[in-house]
Amino acid sequence: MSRKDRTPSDSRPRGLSNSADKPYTVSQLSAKIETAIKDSFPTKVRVIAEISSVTNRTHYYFTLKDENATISAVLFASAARKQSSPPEHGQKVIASGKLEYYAPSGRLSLIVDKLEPVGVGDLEQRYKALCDDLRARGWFDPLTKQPLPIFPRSIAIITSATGAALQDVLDTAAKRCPAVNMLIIDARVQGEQAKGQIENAINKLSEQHSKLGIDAIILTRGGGSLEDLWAFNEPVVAKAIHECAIPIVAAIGHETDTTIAELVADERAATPTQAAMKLIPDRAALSEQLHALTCRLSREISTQLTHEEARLNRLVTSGPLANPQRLIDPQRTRLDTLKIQIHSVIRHIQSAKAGEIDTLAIRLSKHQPAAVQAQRQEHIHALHQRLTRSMHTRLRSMSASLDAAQRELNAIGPRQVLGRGYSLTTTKTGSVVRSTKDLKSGDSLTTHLSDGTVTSVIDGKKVTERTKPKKAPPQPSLFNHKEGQD
Amino acid sequence: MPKKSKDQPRYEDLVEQIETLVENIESGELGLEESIKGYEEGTRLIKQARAILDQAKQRVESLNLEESSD
Repeated sequence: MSRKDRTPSDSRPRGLSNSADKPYTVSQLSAKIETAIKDSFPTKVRVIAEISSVTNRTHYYFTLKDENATISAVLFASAARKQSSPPEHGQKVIASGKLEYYAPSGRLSLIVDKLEPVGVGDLEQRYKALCDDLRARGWFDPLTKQPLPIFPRSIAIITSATGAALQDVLDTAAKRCPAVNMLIIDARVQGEQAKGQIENAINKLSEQHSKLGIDAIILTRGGGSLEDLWAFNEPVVAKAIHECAIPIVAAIGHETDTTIAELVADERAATPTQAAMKLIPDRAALSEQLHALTCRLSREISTQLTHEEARLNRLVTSGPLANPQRLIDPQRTRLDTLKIQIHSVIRHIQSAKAGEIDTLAIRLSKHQPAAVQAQRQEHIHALHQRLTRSMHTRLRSMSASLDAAQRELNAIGPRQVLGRGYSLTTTKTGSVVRSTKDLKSGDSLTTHLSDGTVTSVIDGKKVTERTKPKKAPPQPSLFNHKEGQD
Repeated sequence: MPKKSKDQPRYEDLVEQIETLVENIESGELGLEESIKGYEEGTRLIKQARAILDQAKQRVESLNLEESSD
């Protein structure tokens, strides 16, 4: 029978009416009580009470009381860890849990799984006031937010090392991209120490992010009550987030909870998994992007290559390269013309030079020693001939002159005179006797006559002086050859 | 400490370089030889980026900030 079906009368333990007849054993009674309690109360009850007599051995044992009643309560360690703060004496709370009757000690206890401090209204007021303050400072302004890295090398996760949130983040990271390294910073995420540890973790990571190679932070914890999450509404945590040098993604509690930390953070995520997804790139997507880049690169280069190839082909199949002969022919003709011109010029130069050379050769040959010698000999020979010739001429001329003189001499000579009757007397020495004074007695004289000579000696001397003729008529000269006597 | 990661080129930097190379080649302002050089460099960078992506095992470490704060 379900709890819903029971009426209040049904809730009485069955068989109670028989108890007067037959006594129960304690165990039976205990069992009956346990059943009655289970049947009478819902699985979870909430009770408003004040805590007292707290004892802390592994688990928390305390009393819940009000003015008129008390009831034992226990907060087991597993549940205590989820509490933002441990139960304290005098604290007013709403305790949630189930009622349990423990037969061995005959004790009824509330097994508490959640303690909510009474006075939540205060927290909400504080939250609103802080929100207004930080909003006014511009800490929620999207412009102050840092962009998330596209591909962080390492991400630090600030969370409880034992929480489910961490596992969600790690699982997501492993699935999306194992290349991103994860660095876990264990911190209390609820309770009194939480705000200090979170603030410290953020500040340290901000200082050392470069040294640690961290590009972003995930700040996360699972769901809980406003009190559980309260550390994330603390001004010190908000300040640390605001001043952090690297971007922070915050995912605190359930989607419906919004903490100050999330509002100040550079990015808010609904869940730890979403926080991981925001920061950790999807390997498949990135791989696809790389593939696209590879394709673009390959396509572009092959387009360019094809284009260049086509250009080359066009050059080869059209234009001058297609018919190189057309390019060559005019040049060849020009070359031929030039060749002819050059040959002609060369010939001209050659012949001119050849003439010069011949002249020079002749001039040179003339200066050869043998030629010079021959020339000189020839010259001498010519001179000799001229000399001989002129000598002969001269001699002949002289001979003719002599002959003429001879003939003249002969014409006027003594012989011719002697022929006419005259004689010539000479002394023994041959000298002509011109005066009587040259002679003396005894001298031998030779008298030349026309037909011979007579030698005589003077035996006496008698000189008869010739009288000088007075004006005698001119007599013909003895040797006047002009008269033409011969 | 994940110090090794600091020596590696950043993935974003690699991708940015590749994108610049691709854009340069696509602009058509490069000569063929420069394009081919760009292509080779791009291919090399893509390989490097892919190697980062394909890192098979995630490194997960715990950091004690009190110890590391020296």
